[in-house]
Amino acid sequence: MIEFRNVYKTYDNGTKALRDLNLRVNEGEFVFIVGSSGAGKSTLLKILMREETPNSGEVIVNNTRLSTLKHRDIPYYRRTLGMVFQDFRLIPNMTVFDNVAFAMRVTGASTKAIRKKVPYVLAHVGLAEKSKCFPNELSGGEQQRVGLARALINNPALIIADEPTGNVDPRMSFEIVDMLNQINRNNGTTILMVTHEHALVRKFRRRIIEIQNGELVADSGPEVDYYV
Amino acid sequence: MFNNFKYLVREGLRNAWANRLMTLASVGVLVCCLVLMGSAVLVSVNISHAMKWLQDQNVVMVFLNSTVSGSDASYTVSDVRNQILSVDNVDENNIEFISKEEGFQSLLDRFDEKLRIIDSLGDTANILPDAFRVGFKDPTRYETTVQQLKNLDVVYTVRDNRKYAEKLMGINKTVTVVGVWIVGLLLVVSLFIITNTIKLTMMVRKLEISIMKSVGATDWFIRMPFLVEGIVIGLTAGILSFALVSYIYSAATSAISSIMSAGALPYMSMIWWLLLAFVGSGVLSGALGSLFSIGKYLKDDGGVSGD
Repeated sequence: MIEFRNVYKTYDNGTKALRDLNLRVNEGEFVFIVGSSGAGKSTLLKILMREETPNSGEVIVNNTRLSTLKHRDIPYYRRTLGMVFQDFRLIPNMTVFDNVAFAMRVTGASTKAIRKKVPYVLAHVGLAEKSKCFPNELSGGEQQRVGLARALINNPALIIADEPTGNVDPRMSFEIVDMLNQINRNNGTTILMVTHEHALVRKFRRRIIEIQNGELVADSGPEVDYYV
Repeated sequence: MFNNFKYLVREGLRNAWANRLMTLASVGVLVCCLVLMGSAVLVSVNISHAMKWLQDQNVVMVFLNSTVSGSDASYTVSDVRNQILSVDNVDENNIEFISKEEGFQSLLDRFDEKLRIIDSLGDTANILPDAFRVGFKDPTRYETTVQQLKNLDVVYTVRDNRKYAEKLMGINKTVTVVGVWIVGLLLVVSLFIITNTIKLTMMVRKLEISIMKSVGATDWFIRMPFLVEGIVIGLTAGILSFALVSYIYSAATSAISSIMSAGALPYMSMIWWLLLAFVGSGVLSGALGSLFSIGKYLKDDGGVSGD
């Protein structure tokens, strides 16, 4: 699913963000990525989203070789990913429904398909009743579930969650990660979650990868037993 | 795809409305630019038209020294006619005597009824000499023929249309040069303002754009609402300036046609071209402005997950 081979990334200002990173995540895995700030986690995600390209090395996601991906093909690659952000990134003047529908509309989906699918996904994250609400009428946990619904709407094979519980209170945090866990178990969606919260990591006991100074320093090993 | 098109157009209109102050400013500047540009073009077109008219005429007015009509005539009309015909390039089929009364009358006819206080002065107001309208056989020998006519004793002066044509040519050149500079400058200014208007919308919608990028919107999908916003600005400015110039032109031509025998080009003959030109250049500058402002932003693959 995801493969990093000898990846180096140095920014223009000289910051060495990744140094010879090697990593392999199989389809259907749930991986926590931990590490102190500035360790290179953000760079890792940016490379996965094809916002940044490595200086050297190879990154392959879902059989797509990111180094040879053309600018005009990037949107189609990104449609295979679902992204969840720490700050939710919901559009304030759009309802919950429209926020989720937005991600679908971008891909050229018809209004009919949108009307059919959005309520389904909202029900899936337990927000069926809130579809007419605006983001500021929801709690942090609820807002993040909208973000999750938006990430799920285009049936991505891989969900990338960048500290999804960072702005959510602890009880809701558990709920969010549990939801990701369920999505992983039920749909076989590969999940990559960057987090600082060790309590959550310990509780869910999934694969853990630790990055320090741009290098992989610990890996609990692939969870090959879930999907063969 | 049609669903999307409708959606994107609606978004563009929403942008233009949400940003209405800047939209208005852009429209205003673009209208100024288009009105000046249109006026310069119309003036130039009309001068060319008048020039062509004058040159096509190949006819001069020969004003006479002495009176040949009326009681105090020192020559007869046919005497003078023969003298003029003695110049070999003069076309005997295209020579016409115009008495001072006829000349005065035709001059008066060009003015508005209300302006004709001259009427009250009676014949004493007529200071025009008698004249002949003379056509030439060979237009290439124009200059020498004019000179030959001037050398005749009875001739007071020859009104040489070519001199007018040259003067007009000079005016036309000035109008064109000045027009091009003004228009160029204003075009840059209006592009700058449109670009800034769209950039402002982009700032406001930065979050939306980054989400669009993150869920895999193509460049065209992101660009469309901004393009629509630019086109709305351009279209509005185009229509407004067309209406303004139409009004100015019709007012100006009614004034001009009374003093210029060539007359102005009738507006109706070019109304569709003008509408097309105004709307076209408005839309084009609006579209260009919006593409400029968003171009760099789209080239960058980043901006998906924030800073």
